[in-house]
Amino acid sequence: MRLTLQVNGAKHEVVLDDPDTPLIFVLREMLGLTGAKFACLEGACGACTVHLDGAAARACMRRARDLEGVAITTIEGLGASGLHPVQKAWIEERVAQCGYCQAGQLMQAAAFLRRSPTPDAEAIARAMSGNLCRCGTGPRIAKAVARAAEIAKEDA
Amino acid sequence: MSGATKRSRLSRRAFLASAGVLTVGAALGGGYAALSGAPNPLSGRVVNAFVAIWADGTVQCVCPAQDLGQGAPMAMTMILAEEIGADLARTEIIAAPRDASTYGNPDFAGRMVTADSKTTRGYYPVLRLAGAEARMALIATACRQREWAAADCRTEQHAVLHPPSGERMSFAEIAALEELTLPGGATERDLKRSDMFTLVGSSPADPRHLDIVTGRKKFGVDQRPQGGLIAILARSPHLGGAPVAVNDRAAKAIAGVEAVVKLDDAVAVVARNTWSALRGREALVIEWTPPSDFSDKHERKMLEEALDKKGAGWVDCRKSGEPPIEADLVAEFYAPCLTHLIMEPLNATAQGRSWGLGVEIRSATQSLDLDMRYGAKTWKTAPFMVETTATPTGGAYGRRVLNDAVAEAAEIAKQVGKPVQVIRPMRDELQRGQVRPAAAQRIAAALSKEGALVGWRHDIASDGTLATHLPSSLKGPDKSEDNTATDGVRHPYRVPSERLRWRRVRSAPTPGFLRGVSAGYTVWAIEATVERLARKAGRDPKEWRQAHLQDERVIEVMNKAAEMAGWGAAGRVFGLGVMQFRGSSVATVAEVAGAKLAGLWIAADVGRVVHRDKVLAQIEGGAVWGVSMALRERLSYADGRAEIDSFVHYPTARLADLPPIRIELAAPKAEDPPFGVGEIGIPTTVAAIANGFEAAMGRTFSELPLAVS
Repeated sequence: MRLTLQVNGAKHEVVLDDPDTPLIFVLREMLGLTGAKFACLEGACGACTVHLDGAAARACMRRARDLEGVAITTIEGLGASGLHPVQKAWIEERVAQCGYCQAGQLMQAAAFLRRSPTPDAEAIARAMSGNLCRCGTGPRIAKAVARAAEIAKEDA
Repeated sequence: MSGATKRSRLSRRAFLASAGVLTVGAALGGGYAALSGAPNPLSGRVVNAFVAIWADGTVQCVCPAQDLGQGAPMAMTMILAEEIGADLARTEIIAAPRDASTYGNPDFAGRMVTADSKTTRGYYPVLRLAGAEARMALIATACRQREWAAADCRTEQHAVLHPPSGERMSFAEIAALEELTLPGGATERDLKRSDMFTLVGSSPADPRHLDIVTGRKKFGVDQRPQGGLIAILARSPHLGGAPVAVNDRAAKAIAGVEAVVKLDDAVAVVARNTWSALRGREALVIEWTPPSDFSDKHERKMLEEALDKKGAGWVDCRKSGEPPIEADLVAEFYAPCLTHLIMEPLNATAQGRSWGLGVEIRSATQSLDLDMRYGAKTWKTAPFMVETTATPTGGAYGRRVLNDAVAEAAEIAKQVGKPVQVIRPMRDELQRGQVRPAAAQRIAAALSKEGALVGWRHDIASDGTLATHLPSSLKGPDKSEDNTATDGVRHPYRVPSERLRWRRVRSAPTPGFLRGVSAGYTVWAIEATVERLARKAGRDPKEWRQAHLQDERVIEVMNKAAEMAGWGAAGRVFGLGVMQFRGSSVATVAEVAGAKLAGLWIAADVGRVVHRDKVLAQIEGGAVWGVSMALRERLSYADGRAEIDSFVHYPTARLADLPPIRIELAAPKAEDPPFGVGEIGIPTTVAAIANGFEAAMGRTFSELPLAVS
């Protein structure tokens, strides 16, 4: 099956052996975009979170073939013009430990802040609770999302 | 690893044996063919096994530890840079090759294992000497050139300074000279005084953060071998299950599937990409050996019955004051099996080398040494024929020490004759992976009329990870104590009569090392008992502890955490946990408000702090684990299998479950070395939370996770 995907602003033609191939493996193994990770492969841990038309989605649960015409953004394309506020905040708050889950965390946070630019702590905790960080960076993630909201305002 | 490199170093043993006049030994001449990764390794000036100076003045630092996200490479480099007087921004980190005689951790019996909160702690004295030796070489070379006296010179900001003349010579200028003068081995007398430290104890920015937030950091699963295949194993969800009959017709018909390989206890689908391998595995029709009737209820009964056993089989950990005690309080505690839940799937790549005689292993690992053992054993070759490389790991927490994916990769690569990367899907690891074994404990304690502790008996029954996999690493005079099953049992309280002991009970799930190991429950049992005793004696739990503690550091962190939390404030309910573990002294206070965990305050004396922020991050991460172990985690079994078909069946603490966490570090005492930090956030946090809920709910808890809702 041949299809055209729009990823990080560029068009890519891919040929799938299996029409049900999930987006995550197309990104990682066909387009070489390994920033999005995989872990649970059932849409529950958030490591594979990307944006589809600006909204957070689990790339392990979405078939690539359903996404023609959708603007797909991965961590590699998040800061197309310099670092995105969430990326800046993550560095400032020194969030990452191993970093494996963080691309998904950042994509989740960026999509959340687009919808809720001035969130309170409870909304942040709710929005981020579906993304697991096993290193235990949760407290810093919460701080960084709040900080990213401030940075976005400063940058605007 | 070239012979020249080997020759150029003193062996670790020689180094450690000469206590008092420690020396790293100068490497005269030789380059680092295997270490440099540069086109011409000899363009650098090699000082010793850990330091080389390059022509542009860049200081290369060899890091003997793996990058697990804990920050060890940064901490190692900071220690070297501090002694050298190097600017951290002009250092470069080079991963050490597998060469335990040079790069083994002295605190790990000389092995290259990154685990057990021992990395910074173990390598600190080695790296200081190596750095001091490099500093002395730079000063001696500058003195030769400028005719200064070494005694007048010091190093600072990547230069040798000569205060009498006000002149300086940069490391780059020195490196440009024909050769370095190597004045010989540094000794303890040559080390910088720790009150002169400017880098160690600070929190420099970590350039890895930029790679992580931009998705550039490459983990094991992000690095496929050229022309390599992906293998996914099908294993029985039942413990010990093995394939009896396999129908692989449908699997082989899937596009991208190249081979189906039958192993002793699994069937591997080998494919050109991960998705084909996953689909192939789903398409296999396998008849497995019948399941056992193992269940966690049965296991628990077995463990609890073991506590009643008399006579042989008990391993004493500490014993004093023989007579039996008349207990005022007897309490039992049960901790379930836990799984690591690593995010990056276990993975390892193997490919044949030297016409199939040798094998190259690349893996997200905690130990090149142990990867080599798996590789050599499976490939049936000699250790020196096994090349090992580590990639960064997406979470480790002890799981990647016994990195069994290496054996699978080697087995399959050998059979298919091509490079193969094994990826173990999370569900398979949750069902059949290593576990922190379940444990039953009983503590019996006796009080005097005045409420002082006069007798203490602590019995533990569990399986043992070392006993199962690495029996030669058992501890104690008769090599029978498995510290992964007894860690934390040596409480800090004064008591005239005590007996602490462990009994091994073999169980069905494969035991593994998990962050905190047994301290994740022994400290809970001790501290819960202590608070119950204090209440029984009608005393404040903190005051009661203070009366029984001997170690000033433990008392100090306890009082500090209590002060931070507002211990004793009217109308608030607190629980406390204290311990000494991995050399560090730690106290956690937990507040419970309205049947909810409302706050955590942690004070820790970790000795010398190398990278301050990373120490705080490790403790905070540990505290999150503590919350998760206290309130959420449990791997249960029934009908011979883990009751887990999905990631969501293993609840962990999520962001919404976490209370505010405040952490303070005690100022290091003069010349303190670093103590362990990787695991210390866990045990007292579990204990403090349990005690907080006991105080708030007016009941006791005898098992984890606490049934509070």
